[in-house]
Formats: sequence, C-alpha cells, structure tokens
Amino acid sequence: MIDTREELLNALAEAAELEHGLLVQYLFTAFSFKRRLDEGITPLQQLMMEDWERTILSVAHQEMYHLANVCNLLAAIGGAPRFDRPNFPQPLKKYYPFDFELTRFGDEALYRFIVFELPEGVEPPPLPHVPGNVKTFAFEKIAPDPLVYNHIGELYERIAEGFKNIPENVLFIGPEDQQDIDEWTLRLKMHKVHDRASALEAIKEIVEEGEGTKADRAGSHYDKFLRIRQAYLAEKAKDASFEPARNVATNPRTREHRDAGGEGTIITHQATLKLAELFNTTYTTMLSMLIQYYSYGGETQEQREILRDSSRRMMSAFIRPMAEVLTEMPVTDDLTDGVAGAGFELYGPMNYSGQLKSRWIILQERFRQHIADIEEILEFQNEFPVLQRIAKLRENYEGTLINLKNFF
Amino acid sequence: MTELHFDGWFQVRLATDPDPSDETRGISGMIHVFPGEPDLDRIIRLQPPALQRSYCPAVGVFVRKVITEGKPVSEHPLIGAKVNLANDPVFKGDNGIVAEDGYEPIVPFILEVEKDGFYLNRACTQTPEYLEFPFMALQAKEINGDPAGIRKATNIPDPVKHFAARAASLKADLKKTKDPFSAEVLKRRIAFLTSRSAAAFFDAFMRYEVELGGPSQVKDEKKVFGTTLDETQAWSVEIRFCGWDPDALTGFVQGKLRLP
Repeated sequence: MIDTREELLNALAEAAELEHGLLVQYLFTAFSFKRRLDEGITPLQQLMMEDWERTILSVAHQEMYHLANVCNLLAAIGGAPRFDRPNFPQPLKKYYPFDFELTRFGDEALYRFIVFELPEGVEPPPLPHVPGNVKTFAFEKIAPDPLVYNHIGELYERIAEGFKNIPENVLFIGPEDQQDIDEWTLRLKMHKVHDRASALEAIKEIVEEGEGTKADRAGSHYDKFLRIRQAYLAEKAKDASFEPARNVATNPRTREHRDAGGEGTIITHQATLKLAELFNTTYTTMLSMLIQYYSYGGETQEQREILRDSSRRMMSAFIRPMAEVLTEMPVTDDLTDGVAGAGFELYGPMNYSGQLKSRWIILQERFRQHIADIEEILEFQNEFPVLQRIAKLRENYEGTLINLKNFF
Repeated sequence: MTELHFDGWFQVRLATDPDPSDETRGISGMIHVFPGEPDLDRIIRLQPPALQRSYCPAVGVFVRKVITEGKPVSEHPLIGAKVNLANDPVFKGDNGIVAEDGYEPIVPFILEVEKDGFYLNRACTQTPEYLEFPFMALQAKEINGDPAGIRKATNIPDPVKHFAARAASLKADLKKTKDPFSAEVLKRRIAFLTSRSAAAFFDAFMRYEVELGGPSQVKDEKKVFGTTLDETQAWSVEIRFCGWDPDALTGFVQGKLRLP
C-alpha cells in the first residue's frame, strides 16, 4: 500500500519510466513498416499498413502526453521530472512486470502491446504464432515487492490509492506554477494538478485512454492494438507471404549497456553505427530539453517556450526521420543480417546542473556537436542514397541552434 | 505603374504536422497520398503538370486584369498570361524550426509571367532577410480568415456543399468500380470529403508581400507591355493563398504584381 510521499514519488517515477519505455517501443515498431510498393507489398496492403502505422504513432503520441501528466503529478507533490529509464531490452521482472523489447511490427510485437494495455480482469490474448523465443510476459505470479503490479492500470490504481491515503493538506507542496499546462498541440491539453480531485482526474484519464472503461473499451490503446492484430492475422491468413515490416534487427544498439538485460543486436556497419549514435545523442538532447523545461531552473517564459517548441519539433524533424532512415541501413557488413533501427539508447544518467547558464551552454554545445557529427555521416551518402535525407537534418540542427541562441 | 492581377488554382502536395516536413506519403498529418501517386514534395505548382485527382479543380494561375496608372486596360495583351513561381519553391516551415504553420516562407521566391513572346522573371531581393534562415522577409505577413472574399473569388459559395458534391460523384464511381484498390481509394476520399476536416481551412488565407529586387530577365519581343520595364527598381508582389482543398491538394491564389 502506498501511504507515504516517498512511496508515491517512487511509484510515479516508475510510471514515468513505464510510459517512456512504452512509447519508445511503440515508435520503434511504427518505424519498422515497409513504405514503398517495391518492397513486396500490394497497394491495398500499403493502405492498411499506413493505417496501422498512423494508429500506433497516435498511441505513442498519447503516451508522451501521459508522461507529461505524470511529471505534473510528480511536481504537485514536490518531486522532480523523470525522463531516465533503463536501456533495452529489459527482461520480464528485472525492472518491470513486462518484457521490454524493441521489435519490428508483427504478431509478437502486437501481442506485447496488448498485454501492456490489458485491462485488469480481462483475459490475456492468445499467444503469438511465432516459433520459439515466446515468453508468457506478464502472467507469472511475481514475488511480493514494495510496488506490486501486473498491469499498467494496476500501477495507476496503486498510485491513485496513494493520492487518497496521504492527507491532501500534507501532500500537495509543489508550486502550482511549476507544472506544464501548455497546449503542446491542439489535441493535447495538460492537467494542472493542485489537489486530490485533480490528481485523480489526471490518473483516470491516463488509465481510460490506455484500457478504456469496463463498459466501453472502444478507442482505447488496448482496443486499437487488438484491432490491428485482428486485421494483421486476417491478411496473413489470406496472403501467407505478407510481411509488413522491414527486416529490422531486434534491440539494435551501438554498444553493450550495463543496465540492459537480454539479447540485443550490436550495430557494426560503420555508416549505420555513426547514424545510430547521432540518433541516440539527439534523442538525449531532446530529453535534456524536456528535463530543462520541466525542472524550472529559473528560465524566463520565453526561454521555456523555445525549449518546449524545440523539443516538440525535434520529435518530427529529427527523431522520426533518423529512425526511418536507420531501417534502411545495414546492421552489419553482411547485408543478409538485416537492417538497423533506432535503439533509443541512453549512454549515461541524465544529470543536469540547476544553473541556468550551464544548462544553456551544454544544450548549445550538444547541437554544435550534432552538426559536426552529421558531416561524417554524409561521407557515406554516395554509397547509401537514403542518407541524402540526413543532409536536410543539418539545416534543422543549424536552425534549432540559431533559435536557441536567440534566447540565451 | 502597372499592376498585373492574377488568380487561379495551385497545387502543393505537402506533409503536415506531426509528420516530418520531408515525409513522402503522409502518415500522421492531415495530408495523405495513395499508393501509386507520386511522393509528397512540398513544391508549390501554379502551372501543370500537377497530380489531378478526379473531380478536382484544374491547376493554372493566369493574369486576369491589367491596371495601368490606376485604370483597367480591358484588352491588354497580357491578360491570360501564365503566372508561375519558378525553381520549385516550397513552403519551408521545417516542422516549425523555420516558421510555424501558416507563416512558412516561400523559398526560393522567383516570379515568372509568360505569354507568347513575352516573358519576365524576377527573384526576390538578395539580402539576408530573404536568403538566410529564417527567411523573415519571405514569411507570410498575415494568416487570417476571409470567408466572403474567398468564396466569391473561388466561386464556391458553400465549401461544405462543394465537397459533398464531389463526394456524390465519387460515390457514383464507387458503384461502378470492380477493382478493390480503386474502391478503397474512393471510399477513403468520400469519407474525408464528408468529414468536417474537408472544409476546415477553406476560408483561411496566408498573405505574402515580397519585394522583387533580385536578378531579372525580361523579353518582350512584340512590345506587348507597352513600355520598357524598369529593372533598376525593385518590383513588388502580393499573394494570398486560400481556398484550401486537402482532397485535391490544391488551393486558390490571388495576387498582384506591381511594375514601376
């Protein structure tokens, strides 16, 4: 039972890690789709696959919003934003009651996604039809733990209990003006958390978007993944050769990580390795901007706005293009080993100074480094024309750096 | 002073947020292309060739009126001249890094007018605010709504009915279609055209004012302009983009070029 501030802060930190980990897995799978008719798909299949990609990206988008709302819940009770998480893969029960892996689109990925979003009391879906290496994921009984849950909804139930158990007048100590209530897009409206009722409302929305309600699951993440799986299996039954994903390696990574468990695929192709490292460092830059945005180190409103806008733009202008290009780059020098993907690797803990000046200097240093790194990647564009898309990113890095410099 | 007033339908096939600006198919944003159609490329096309989906307006922007020293010249030989933006310009927003939605600069900005032996081409002024990030002088000066003016200019008094009429034509085609893929595309177009999204931006406009003080080319073999064009002074052009049609991937252009 959660009945102290520390336990509630720990549970919310876990929720933030989970939301972050989920959205990255959804993104990885969404980026693995084939995108062209010359990749062995029919026009009708392409339409269907674009719908699936759109749906999975929309779920990932909502998970970003859930993560932001969890940061508000943390701030409301005196906590700091949480954007750290362990690297992939994470085997069942090491950190979470789920198997966290970066896998391409297919029945196994869809099965895991349905399990992530499974409503409490609902029977798990049939196991995927994948030979070997299929785990039962979240359904083993786990040993008692300070924070016990088997479903995401269950974790939020514990958190909600914590908000109910701890006296309201003791719990809400965070300054209200240090929460994110900006409209990141017209579709996402943030919740300001200032008391028990508003905290419970934010939690209810997160849970309902994930699993729906007992009376109505339609439109929930759970329902969306079920429908995609149903359509995928139906198409596979009609056309056994249907393979919607590129041959993307599982858990691709640029190096071994002490905090990762399980098997990964080390990227050894030189050009791909450089691009994957640029992807990972850019992803970290985006997270550092979010940390700076949420942790209020004395930034002015204008500085906060450029941090918010720049991090939002980075998702479309850097993260997705690079992740897509990686699925067209060889993972090793042997082209039959398949292609790479975005590993969303974190090379170290994200510890940033509370000093405003240091934060801005580090941020700008990182962009200058990204611009330098991109030059090395572009040396390979004659061999890999898909890298021409990366040339466009240089402009985006330079533009973002100019935008940041205008505010510090 | 001579003013060339022009209008007509243009096409721009561009991915919209949150898709990356160089997205080629359109996944997360409002604009999608169908399998078999060319990739999205953001190029602003005032003249054909442009992708023509069924029952969509024909692309082409032309001089409609010429005013010299404040007086319309009804039979001016340049009426009907083609107006174009040369060198494959794009709305360069780059997901907000250069400019937010609606304010995207048109890069590069080179205006062309052509008819018979007459041809003029002039680039924007060649100073940093026109040529360098964030292209402030090429960004839209205004984004606003003007339902009455746009509906009159496009001769579409009711955009919702206009799109519903196109959907009705497509429904008739759907009944006759036997090919499953064509049927699926028709179904998707019908669903979009009968949704609230179809006419959502029809009445909005983006207004640009651009000084044309850069390199120029003028040919007037038949002396149709009536006087020698002064290329030592900057010209100016004002353009409104409006009447957005996300099914056709077109919009309506209204503008005037001022020549000293």
